[in-house]
Amino acid sequence: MGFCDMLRLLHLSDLHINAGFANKSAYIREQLKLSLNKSFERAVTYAVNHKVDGVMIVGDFFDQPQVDYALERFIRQQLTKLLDHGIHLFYVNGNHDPADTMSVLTSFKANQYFHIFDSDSFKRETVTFESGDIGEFIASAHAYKGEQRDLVKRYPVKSNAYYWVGMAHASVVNAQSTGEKTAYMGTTLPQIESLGYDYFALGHIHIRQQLSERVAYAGNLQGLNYKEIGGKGGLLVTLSENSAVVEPVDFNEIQWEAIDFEVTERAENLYALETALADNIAEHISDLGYPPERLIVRVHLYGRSKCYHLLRDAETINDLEIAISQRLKLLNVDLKDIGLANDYDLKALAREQTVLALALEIMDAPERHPELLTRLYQLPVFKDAATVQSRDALLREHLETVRAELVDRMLKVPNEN
Amino acid sequence: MKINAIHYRTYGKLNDYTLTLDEGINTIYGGNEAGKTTIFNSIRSLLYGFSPANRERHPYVNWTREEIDFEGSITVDGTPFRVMRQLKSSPKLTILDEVNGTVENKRNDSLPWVADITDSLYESIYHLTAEVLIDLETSSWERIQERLIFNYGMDYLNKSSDVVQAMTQELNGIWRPDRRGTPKLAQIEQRLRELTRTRIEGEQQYDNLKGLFENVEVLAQQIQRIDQQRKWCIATAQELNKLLPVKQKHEKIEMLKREQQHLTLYEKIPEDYLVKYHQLKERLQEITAEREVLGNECETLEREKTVFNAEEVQILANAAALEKASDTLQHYELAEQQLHELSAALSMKTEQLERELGNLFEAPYQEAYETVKQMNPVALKTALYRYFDMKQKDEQIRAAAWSLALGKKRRYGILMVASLVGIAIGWRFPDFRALAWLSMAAFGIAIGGMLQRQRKNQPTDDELTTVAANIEAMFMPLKLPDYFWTDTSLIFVGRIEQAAGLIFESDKLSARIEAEKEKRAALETVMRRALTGGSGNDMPVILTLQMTLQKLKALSKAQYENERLQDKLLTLKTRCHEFDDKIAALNEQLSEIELKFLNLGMGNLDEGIAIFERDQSIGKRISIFEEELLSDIALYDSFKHYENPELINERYIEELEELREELEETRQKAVSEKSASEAEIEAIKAAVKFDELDSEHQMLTAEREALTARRDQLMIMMEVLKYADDKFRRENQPDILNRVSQLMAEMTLGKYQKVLISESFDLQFLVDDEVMPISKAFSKGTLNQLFLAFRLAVIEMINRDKPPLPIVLDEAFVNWDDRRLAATYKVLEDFATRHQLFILTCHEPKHPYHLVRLPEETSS
Repeated sequence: MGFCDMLRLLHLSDLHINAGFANKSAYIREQLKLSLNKSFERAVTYAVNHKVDGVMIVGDFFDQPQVDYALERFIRQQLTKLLDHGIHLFYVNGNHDPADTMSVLTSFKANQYFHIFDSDSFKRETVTFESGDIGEFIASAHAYKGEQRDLVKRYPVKSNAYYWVGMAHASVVNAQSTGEKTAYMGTTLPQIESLGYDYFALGHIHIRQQLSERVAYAGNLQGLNYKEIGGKGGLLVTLSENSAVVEPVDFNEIQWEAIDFEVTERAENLYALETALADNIAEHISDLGYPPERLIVRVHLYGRSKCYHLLRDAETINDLEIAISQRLKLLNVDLKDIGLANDYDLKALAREQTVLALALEIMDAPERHPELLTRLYQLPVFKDAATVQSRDALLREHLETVRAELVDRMLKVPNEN
Repeated sequence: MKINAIHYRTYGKLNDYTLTLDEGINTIYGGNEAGKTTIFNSIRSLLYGFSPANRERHPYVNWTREEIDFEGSITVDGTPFRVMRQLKSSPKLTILDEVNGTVENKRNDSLPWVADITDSLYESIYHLTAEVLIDLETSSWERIQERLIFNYGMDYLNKSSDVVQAMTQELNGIWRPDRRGTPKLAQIEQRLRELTRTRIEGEQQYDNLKGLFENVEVLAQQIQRIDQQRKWCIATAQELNKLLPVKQKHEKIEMLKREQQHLTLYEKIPEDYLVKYHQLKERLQEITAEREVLGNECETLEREKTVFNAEEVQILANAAALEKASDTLQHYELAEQQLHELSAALSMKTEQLERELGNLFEAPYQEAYETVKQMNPVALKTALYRYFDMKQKDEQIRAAAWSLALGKKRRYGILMVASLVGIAIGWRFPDFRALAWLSMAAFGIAIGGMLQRQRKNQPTDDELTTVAANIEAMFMPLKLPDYFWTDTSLIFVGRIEQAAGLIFESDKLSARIEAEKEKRAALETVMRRALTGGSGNDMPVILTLQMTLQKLKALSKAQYENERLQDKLLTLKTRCHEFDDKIAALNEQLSEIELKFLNLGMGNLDEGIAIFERDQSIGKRISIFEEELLSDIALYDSFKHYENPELINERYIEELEELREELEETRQKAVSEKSASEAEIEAIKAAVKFDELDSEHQMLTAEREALTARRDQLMIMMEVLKYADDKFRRENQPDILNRVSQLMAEMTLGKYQKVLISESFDLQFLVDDEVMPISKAFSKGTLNQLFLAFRLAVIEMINRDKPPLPIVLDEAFVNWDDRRLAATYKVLEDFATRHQLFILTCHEPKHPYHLVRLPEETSS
């Protein structure tokens, strides 16, 4: 009978341990890979040192079925370490590592501490832990890459006094996400809560978040890209008779950070801009208290500046990135233009009686120019627009984006000298 | 808006200089480098602020003061303002409403009244310089035409067509709808396809790896299996090598056991039976021999035994009685001897007594004897004592003599006793007869001595008389001697007493003799009875008895000897019996053993023994082997419990060794094959870096996305711009062209009647009712005039509903002839009613407009 003590589980997901990184620098890519491994090693060491009862990896442990030799060895080593310490490992197949694709794990299947959930019809495993506590672990897996059905609906409702832990690599409606994520195995929070489990471990969405007292996404172990910022790791779940305590634990070796930076007229030249950027980043990272050499910082640049033309030059940007990262000893700095413009007075230009003013006027109210709209909507960009509304919205969005550029293109570049 | 005056505290070369301006046309005259360009710049700065707004970079910052400081006095819609601008560490603008007195402080902003026209547009349209016009001369007609038709001479803007072209170029670099060339997106798509292909190939290779993996797995399992088998082979071979000698021994034992005939019978015979058998036989022989000796001995003894006749038998049968009789005879003889002795003693006594009594009394012996015999010596003595007591008082002296006499008597006594002893010895032992005689003599002496003493005893006085009477009475009839009464030493009495003793002894002896005689008679009777058994009284008993006893003695001896022999014989016989028993027992044992051997030999004992001996020798060999086997009991146990004992053989061990070698060979192959497969896997895995592929894919996808977005942006911009350009031209071009035609006609005094645009967007002129292309018609001057006409038309168009800004013409009329210049001034005069006009020139002005002469010193 359960409930004699408490159950401690480490909830992990979406490690994407063999993921490729979209960074131009091979060095950074290598660092990211090594660090991801290190993050996993940290999680394993944490589990061992804290003597947790079990580790749950709720899908997307792997990014793809192909695992290279060294990584395979590393993973075996880490998993063996866990299992050798008598820590139960609950592994649910995700959409990136659907059932029967990960040959790396085949050899662990015979291990009594290894529990794989690899069926799209739910599996239920009753586990008696060393403490004497008994847990019922229920999960459905992604049997193939495109599983979109709500398999959680089929999970059994809690029916005994043991600890019931559900797991699913699933999209829960309204969960906070970094972007458009395919709603694999979409389900809802009320659906999960109706099962009455002691804890429900989710995977798929990379942002660590607790949807309710007993339902949470662990997020991924280390950010994979600029969208996945801040501390990352997993959740330490402590279940006792009356409570579920869910505490975040960071394991990430490398941390991604993103900062918005407005380029103002004060940044008259690149040096001034570099200084301003470095100061801004330094201030931001000093709050984090994280070693800069393990930080990758993306800076979103916007604002009006005379440096506009320079900042549109890839080489200049690259030099600037290197200068700042060297100055702050950061692993990597990435400058991204999200709305830089020259410091023209667009309003004034729009008031003139010129073709540019007319163009600006058209861009403000394209609907008044059906002939133009007809021509625009024939462009490839609008081909996939599903609705008139979405097409119009898309057009407005694009017109907004190109306004400054068109002005810049129309205006002759003033002689810098 | 009118600029009334500009006061330069410091502006480039202009220091503390005030430029006073009229509201219409102002001719500003100055030599080269007098500051005309500075003035235009200051007008622009006054209206729009400093450009650049940086003290270090602004070209008109005074070198010594490092600043610009000037102010303009302007009138807007009748309201006077003072506009003060400074460029020091930062730009500063102060606008003072001179009517209300309100002050507005700003930085580098444009003046609020010029907000509808950008500085670029102002610079481009309101400022026509000689440089621009001269530039026309070097430009191609096409370019001029474009500037005029498409841009209306607005030089701050790029031509729409140029912009579109640049965008087209960029777009073509990114993407082409006609799929020609290799625009970036196509490159990316191609690269992505390549990546996808590489990935698919890689995945296929990985899929193939599955085969390799399986192969590796199979090989690993095979190796594991082989290792197990090899281990088993080695272990089994080791075990078998250990068990083999055990088995060989065991087999030897089995073989030997098979050699043992009638094993069941053999096994029933204890192993020591043969030895026992032989021992028994030997023993039996020995015992039989011994038994024979004993038998012989018995026979000898039997022969040695005496055979008695009937009489002897009778005697022997009567032996007990005879023995008794023999004793009786002894008794008889003894009695006889006793009787002799007693008779001799009696006669001696009697003699002695006779002599004594004869000595004492002079009476017949018999009388004396009878008297003394009846006498009481004690009473006598008492009487005598009494007598002597009475007599003592007088006779004490005699007492001493008496005592002396008594001492002599004692010595006689001793002598008497010693002589008696000597007599006895002499009597007893004939050899000592001489001693007897001597002793007799001594005895006589002793007696004499004794008697001497007795004579000395004498009775006393009166009383003594009574007493003496009594005493005499006692001796009656005898007569007492005289000395008696004097015999105080009582010798007489002593002699009496002695005689009495002798009498007593004689009596006793006589009695004893009688008794002995009776006894002898009784003994004789007994003997006789013994001899005859009651009969034969007639035969002399003693002699017969003695003879019989003699015979008996001999017979007894013989009988004793017989008995001794008999005893011996009995012992021997007993031993014989024992031997017989032993022999029987041995025979029994032997036959028991023999029976077994007989059984073994199928009725033939020798055969049986031979078989047994052979089996036993085999058995010994077996037990040696068994002992060896049992020396390592564990090993033997494991042999006994070995599942497949038939496998314990050298051949099989060799086979195992061969198998092991084979396995090792196979293992080696499997190991190298496995290594090869693993190396292949590693090589394949190393060759295809999926994460790197993904990285590139991601980056390319992102780039494609960005480029697609860029393409879309460019396309949208192009569409918008083309549309705007078209629309702008359609809406404005007719008006502008009409106005250009009008102005051109005025400036050329009617020569150029109309400006037209052909279908193919070529400028054309109607000259003398003839349409001519621009390239054919124009001189430099006419071109300048056309350009001015365009500018003015555009200014009019731009300024339709906006506050009119000052127009600056900087050496614009160098190519004008006087007639056309005059006609042009007329046009300008009309413009001057709405716009303030600044005509900058280094030539002496000929027209009567407000003239400003720039100071010479500033131009130095």
